Amino acid sequence: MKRVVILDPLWPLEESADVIATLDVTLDKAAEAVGDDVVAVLAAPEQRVPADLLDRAPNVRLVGTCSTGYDNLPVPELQAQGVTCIHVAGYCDDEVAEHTITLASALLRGVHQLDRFTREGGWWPFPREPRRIRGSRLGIVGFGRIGRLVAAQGNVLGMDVVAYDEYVDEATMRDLGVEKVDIDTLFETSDVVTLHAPLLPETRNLVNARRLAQMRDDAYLVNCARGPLVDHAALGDALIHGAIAGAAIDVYPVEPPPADEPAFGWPNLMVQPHSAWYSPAASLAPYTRQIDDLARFLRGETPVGVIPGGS
Amino acid sequence: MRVICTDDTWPIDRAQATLDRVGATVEFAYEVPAGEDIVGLLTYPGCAIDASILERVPNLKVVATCSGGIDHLDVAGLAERGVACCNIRNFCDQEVADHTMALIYACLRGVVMLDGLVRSGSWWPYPQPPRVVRGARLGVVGFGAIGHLLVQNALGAGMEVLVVSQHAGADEIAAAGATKATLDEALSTSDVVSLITSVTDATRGMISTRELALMRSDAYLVNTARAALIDHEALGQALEAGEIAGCALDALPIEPAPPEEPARAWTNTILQPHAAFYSEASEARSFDNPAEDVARALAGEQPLGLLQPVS
Repeated sequence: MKRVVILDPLWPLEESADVIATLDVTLDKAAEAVGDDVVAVLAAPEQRVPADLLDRAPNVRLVGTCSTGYDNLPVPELQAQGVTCIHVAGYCDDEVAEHTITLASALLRGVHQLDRFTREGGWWPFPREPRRIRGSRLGIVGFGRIGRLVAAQGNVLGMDVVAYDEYVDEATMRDLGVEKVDIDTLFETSDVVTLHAPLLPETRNLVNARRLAQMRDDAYLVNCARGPLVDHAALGDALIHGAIAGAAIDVYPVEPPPADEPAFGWPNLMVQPHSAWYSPAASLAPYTRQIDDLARFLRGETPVGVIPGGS
Repeated sequence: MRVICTDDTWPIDRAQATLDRVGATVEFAYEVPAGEDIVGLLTYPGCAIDASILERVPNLKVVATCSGGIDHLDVAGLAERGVACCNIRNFCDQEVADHTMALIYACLRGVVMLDGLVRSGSWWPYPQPPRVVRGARLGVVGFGAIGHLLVQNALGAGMEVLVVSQHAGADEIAAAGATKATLDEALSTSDVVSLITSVTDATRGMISTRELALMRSDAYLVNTARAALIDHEALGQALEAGEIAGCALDALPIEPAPPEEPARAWTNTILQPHAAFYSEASEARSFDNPAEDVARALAGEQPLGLLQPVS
């Protein structure tokens, strides 16, 4: 029988038991996809699918990642060989937007640093003075689904919301209460810069030493998108030298971060375990939606999560 | 004429500039000294004042506190002896409402605890799983100026809001987009209970063993009002027993918190150093408005923050 290789050993197949029962394939949890009988491969976001996959599994026609970002898949190489690539979009938009605004408001109000300060015996004067959220400028880099939800949350809190996205026009942003600005203006004028762009060759190190130097020294950076959007070493330098006031990161160059991750020693940094996407409901959705899409593909239908670009 | 300031963080120069116009001099003293020329006091919540002070300062005319809370002042007793008491109102409403919202977000999304857990090597599964804010139920206890602003923040975040108020009717609360509830209803059904009411004989110790037991085991308690609203011993026990999920406290029974403050050891607790009121602008108002009111009282004018004695 044909095999579908599930690379993620933690994939909760029991959540999709009804759907799986209808599929004329075996679902096989394995560390590698090898063999003529493999027709599909599903990966977790931290699992990199090799570009030479078809050398070892020549009959693969579907490759999926159970995440919104698909930087772990060699999409152009696979599509060139006739492989359909799928991801799961939109299952955690609210969660990521809420986590982002949580981190932005925690940074502006100094919640995390004041908690530590109080535990260590401090009281007054504050080492980190809370700032007004209302009227602070929130700069959103990437105005897709999540960026728009973050904008709405920022507007509710009375923030002055600006965004940069070369693919979204001014009128669309204006209708959502957001001013479109160029990327230099965004970095130079925002109280909080938050990243909601996909990781692509052209967005890697989008926030580099030059962008960090453009930011105000009382400004904060939030990254709930992908680690490599930020030049990690440059962020460390900026925090250590006070070039920016602080940052909150949910993502890292390597995940999970190693025990000697230098970020844990940087000042004024909140760290999160790639948890912005999470809620109890969202925790199962990517798996069940991806299995649903696998079923569609095997029935000859078009999966809802097809990554564009293939023929 | 002399005015004594009992708060060693007060910007005395600015107070003096205000009091120059009535010919009074301001000086700092932890304990109010005896003196017939002392006519005014500038004070703060850490310094209790009642009519017995008149034994030392028989010609006292006005006491002004740099706080909204007045539980440290015996307003009726002082008024009986002809001493006007003033507080500052609405000087930090937006700051407190926004800080409270930041803490509600931080509780539900788990960001402060997750930061500590990541640093100690945790990654997945999350020991403190984030929850969805949209659709979560917030119980707001108190419907004054800050409560109104908090309700707006929470509704904007998509929360369902219950309001507990002795004064506001169901219509007034419905007009703000929330639902009037009893304290027990709010406690037993809310994801987060936020206290934003003043300390009176009716509210002192209002959250104790019975009330904490009513709360859901996955619920959070947020207090950005006054510590005296809560029986802290009962709160510590409820946290230890897992009767509630966690809390965020901006007010502690003794402020500044002494080294032996037990809350520092509580699990799932965000501690803040009485910082919700703060922004650069609100802090300036908190000192300038009382000095202005002392000047007005000494000049025979109506102080802006004059308190009406309630017997």
